Amino acid sequence: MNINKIVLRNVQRRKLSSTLTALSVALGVALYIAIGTLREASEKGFQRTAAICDTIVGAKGDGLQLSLNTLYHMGLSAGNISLASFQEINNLDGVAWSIPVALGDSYRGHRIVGVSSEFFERVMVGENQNLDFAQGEAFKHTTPEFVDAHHELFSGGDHSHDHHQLHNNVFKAVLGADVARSLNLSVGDVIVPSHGVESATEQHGDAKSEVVGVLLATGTPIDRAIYIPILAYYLMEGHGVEDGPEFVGARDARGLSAIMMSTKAGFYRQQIFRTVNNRLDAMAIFPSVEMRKLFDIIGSGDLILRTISLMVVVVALIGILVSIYNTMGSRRKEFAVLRAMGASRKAVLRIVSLESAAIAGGGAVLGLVFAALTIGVLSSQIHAFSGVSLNISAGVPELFIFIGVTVAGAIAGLVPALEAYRTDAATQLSSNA
Amino acid sequence: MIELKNLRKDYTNENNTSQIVNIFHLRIEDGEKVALMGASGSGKTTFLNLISGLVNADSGEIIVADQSLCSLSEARRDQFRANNIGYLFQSFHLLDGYSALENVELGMLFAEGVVNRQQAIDELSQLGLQDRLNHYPSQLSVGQQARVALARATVNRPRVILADEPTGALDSSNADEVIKLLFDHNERHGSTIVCATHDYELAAKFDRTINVSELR
Repeated sequence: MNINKIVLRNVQRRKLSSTLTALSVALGVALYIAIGTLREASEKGFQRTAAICDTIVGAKGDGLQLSLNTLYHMGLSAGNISLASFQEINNLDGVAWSIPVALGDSYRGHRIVGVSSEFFERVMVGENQNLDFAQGEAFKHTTPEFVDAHHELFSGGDHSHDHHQLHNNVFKAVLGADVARSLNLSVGDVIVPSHGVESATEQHGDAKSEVVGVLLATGTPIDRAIYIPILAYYLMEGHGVEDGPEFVGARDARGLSAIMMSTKAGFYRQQIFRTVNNRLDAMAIFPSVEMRKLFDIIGSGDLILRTISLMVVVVALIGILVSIYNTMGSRRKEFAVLRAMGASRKAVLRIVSLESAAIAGGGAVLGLVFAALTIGVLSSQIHAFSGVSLNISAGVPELFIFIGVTVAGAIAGLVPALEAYRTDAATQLSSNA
Repeated sequence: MIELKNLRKDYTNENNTSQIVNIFHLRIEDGEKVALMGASGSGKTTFLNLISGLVNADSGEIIVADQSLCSLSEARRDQFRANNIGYLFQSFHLLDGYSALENVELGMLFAEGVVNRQQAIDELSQLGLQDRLNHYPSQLSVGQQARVALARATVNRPRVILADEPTGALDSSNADEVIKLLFDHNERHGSTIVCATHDYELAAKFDRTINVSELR
């Protein structure tokens, strides 16, 4: 027998009210932790993807849309830029590398991304981690080869001869890890792209592509995409239909959806940013800045939700206070008996205060468990939705929350504890009720 | 030894102040069994509470087990009570949420030293409750409850046992049994027993009877 056992016994004796108040605390704690953790982990995960390239160039429009469409394969393309623009921008001083990107098709729910083979050599995820292959290898289709072929395709005249000649080389595909796993595809299989991304319509029967490689998982949207040589996009039926030598604007299907770019160290980044944005046909964005803006917007909602969850915790603590306070009338004799056996007023105060702390602490632990379950479910949904893997681990903040809520519970318990402290033992014992 | 000198304790309510206890001098020897008698409201319970240190005197001196209580802080009196006093109440005041064994362990909880479960088991066994250790008060007969309360009062080997109408809720058979067990404890361990009662027949069994009202 010890004080802690008395405390636990008293909590157990009021199972229903103890459980309900602990659940209220748990709800608030779980909300608070889940919201904060998911936001933080999501931001880190999205920023990790944003670091694939430092700059994206696309048609004038919304920077967030361009960023989400190019890197996260969400939403629709804002428009195209011409190959000539790509060449001009690619030749700017300070461009370390640039990769032309074409978007707009899909295969069984997975987006198809046209890129040059430099994508597999240049792009890094995380801490300087190159894209590695689980199976096979990258297709061979460099940016210069694409530029030459694009010129040939759209310089006028009959292209049918070129189409047949190019087919064997460009209808290849590299799959992200999730695509290969979820569709059970491997090297040697053939996929048939469909036109469109959100509601794919007809299949491009003329563009059957052989899987030549499967990437290792990266924890980024790369895992959910299918990469094909960018030229293949322009060889599919219905793409690049405009005729004439002039690029006719953002809706010209002969254009590029975006350029993924890395700039050299120093002032080049800002210089390129300004130069591109001074053009009438293109804009440059920094994906990491766009993501920060996005999470700043989310952050204000997040603040409201976290404030609400804190209020839930406060209300729950008041609930503990009230539930214990309501028992004081019937427990005065119990305290008097303990006093007669030698318990000091402080010991009685400690017992009641610890009861409150135990309920709050138990609720906090339960809240941490609920939060872990919620985060587990929601992080897999975020991964399914965005391809971004969230790296979540419990740490010091959760420990502080547990301690903070437990101490707050003890403080809330001081109100009924002071009632117990003030109990006149002699008076209680002399009434023989 | 218990010694009270010039002891005075008043009771004050909204309207007036009345003297509850007023003792010029009283001495109770170690191991003595004393019955405390007096009409209702004569101050018997207050007398017990003064000796236990649960309430402090307005003036005078209380010496219990060589310790002057009036000079001690409330916390020190609490500790003194935990170490030296055993309380036995008329309605037993066993705590509902605790088994018989746990109720007896509570008697050791606030004293110096560790709670000795085996000692609590032995105490209950000596009172014939070895097969009722894990029963809750509501599962015990009145006589068994009285014996658990007695075990709780004696488990800590107190120098003084204070009993406030300990047989008031018992039939004559159980009352005799409880008093016999109380006296057995007194013989084995030499505890001083001060018992408040209205029962002359019971009082006659004690070494000495003190009428509170005659002490003034």
